[in-house]
Amino acid sequence: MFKKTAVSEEELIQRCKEGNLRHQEKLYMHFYSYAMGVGLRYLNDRNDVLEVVNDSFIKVFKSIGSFKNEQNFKPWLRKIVVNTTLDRIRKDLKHQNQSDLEAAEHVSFAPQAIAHLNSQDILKLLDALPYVQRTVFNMYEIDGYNHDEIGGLLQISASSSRVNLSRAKEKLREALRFEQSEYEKNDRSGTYR
Amino acid sequence: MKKMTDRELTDKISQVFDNFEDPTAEQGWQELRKKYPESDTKPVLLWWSAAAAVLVVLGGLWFMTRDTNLADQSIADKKSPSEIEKEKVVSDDSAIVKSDETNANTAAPASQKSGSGISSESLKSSSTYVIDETSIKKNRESRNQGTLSPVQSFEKTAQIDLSRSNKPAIVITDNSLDNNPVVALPAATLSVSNSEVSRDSIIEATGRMLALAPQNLSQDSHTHRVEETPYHSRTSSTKNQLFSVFAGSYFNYSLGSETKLNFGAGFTSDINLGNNLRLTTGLALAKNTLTYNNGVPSSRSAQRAYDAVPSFGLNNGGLLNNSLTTVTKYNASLLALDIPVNVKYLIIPRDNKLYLLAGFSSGTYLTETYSLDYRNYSPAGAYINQGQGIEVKNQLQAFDLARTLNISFGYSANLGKTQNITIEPFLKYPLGGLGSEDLRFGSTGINLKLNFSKFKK
Repeated sequence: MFKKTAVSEEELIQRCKEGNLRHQEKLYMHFYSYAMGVGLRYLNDRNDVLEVVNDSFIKVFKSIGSFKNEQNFKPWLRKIVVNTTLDRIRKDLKHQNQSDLEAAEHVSFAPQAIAHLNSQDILKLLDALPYVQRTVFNMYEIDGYNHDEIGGLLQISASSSRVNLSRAKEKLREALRFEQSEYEKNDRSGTYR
Repeated sequence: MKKMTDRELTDKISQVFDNFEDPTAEQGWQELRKKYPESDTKPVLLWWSAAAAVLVVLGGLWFMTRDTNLADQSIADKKSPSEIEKEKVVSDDSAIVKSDETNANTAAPASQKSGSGISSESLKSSSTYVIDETSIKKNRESRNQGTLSPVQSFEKTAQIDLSRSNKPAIVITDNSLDNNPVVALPAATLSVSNSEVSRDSIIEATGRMLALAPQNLSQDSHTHRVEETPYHSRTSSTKNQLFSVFAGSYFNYSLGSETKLNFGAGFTSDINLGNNLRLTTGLALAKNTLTYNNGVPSSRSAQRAYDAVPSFGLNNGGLLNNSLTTVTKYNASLLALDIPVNVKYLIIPRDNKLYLLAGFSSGTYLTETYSLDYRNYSPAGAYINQGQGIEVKNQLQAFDLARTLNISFGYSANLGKTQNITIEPFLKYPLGGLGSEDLRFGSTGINLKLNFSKFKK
């Protein structure tokens, strides 16, 4: 799951606290995929995600002195990545109008049972959601924020957050259903054989 | 069913992205290094810092050199007014008491004798004050007619001084006294030599003049100027520190002098003496300037300095025989080559950030420039002429061994693994007279030091 490092995670973090560039690089390599996964859940564009992830790691390196050793590093990193992503989304939202936000593309993929979805399938599903709905869905369902927190962070009301979550789920279900029916249709005709 | 699907999908998303694998970490790191250059900039910072230090040193040298050039130029500019003054002297027969024939005859040779240690400028300027034959004749005639006895002259001078109550103290010159015009300190010495004047009358006249001597001497536009140069070097703060460069600004201070802002720069190196102690030594260039607006410096050493200026001693530069000379300004400018030997005490040895430093400075002066402005009055008290920028220059003439006490403390902050920067307030206290004119002056200011230590590999 993670690249193997010669030093333990605690030691790696300790060295990073001392400002050791080599160990900062090791830490980056070790947690890069995880951070990218978090970013990709929120953003469509991979280049944007890389930018967000790198900005997040810069924040990590600069503030790792305040990280307590008894803490778990991954949640701390995830929080930083999510916050950085939200900053990015807020910035992007200013430059988009509402129609852009609501105009979710209808994606096509070969849906299987949910248990067999891979990351690409899920990303296609998420890409089908408008920005706000996707963000609310990720924050609430995956990253554990409540609606008040989401409302505060996205500068929307808690009820609006609930509505967006509900719509996001509905759209995901629709997308799953649609693609499932397409899959079954094609499966019968032998497309996926 | 709906809820089950939602939960199932959410769990799947969490699981997939928690175990997400992305093979582009290397490229990502390269991208990050473009944005996160702090670590990489350390060598760049080192070179920039070194370049900045060199620039500071060069700038300081340029600043000092420029000042010297300006001083030379100002002397040249001041020649023509003195010639104008000479014309005034010659034309104003009634007001001037001129020297007798013997004195006049000795005046010209005296000016020629004065070559040693005197600049050509001062030679030229002194020659303009040689009294011509016609004025000597007039002088003789007036003496024969008994128009003014020396005592009368003093009395008249005193009266005039009353009306010019803000004029500096007066000097009477006469070549009959070993050809050296004696210039008095403000409200201090007065020397008179004239064969026709009794010692008592001189003392009496002196007393009167001292009593009448103005206290505020700073209003005149004529002054003797001296220039100078000191500076300090300091220590560093890193344990493995090998070398430090520094630049500082400071104020020169001396009794009777204006406080002057100056600059200096140099380098130091530390030698480990123990856990807490370092021996710090190095080399520094420092400019020192002093300006005494009340005439010559009032300290004992300054008196000596004044007398030592050859322009006034041998050359008769700018001073008329039998005239009363007031020194209105005295400037010193010294470019010091300072060799400090200090002991540094590290308050927290492990930390190396805070230290106290004390020691002594020795050194010589690459250039010393002393100059003065003056005003001449006849013994009768009439204004004769004035001169500015009468100047004497010395180079590497004196070596002051441990004449300055250095006290300072420093605080360092890291700039990188091998450099740190130190702010170091300091005081240099004079333990004796400095320079060829034995002026006693000190300085206080702040040094900014860039310290370099070994590269850690």
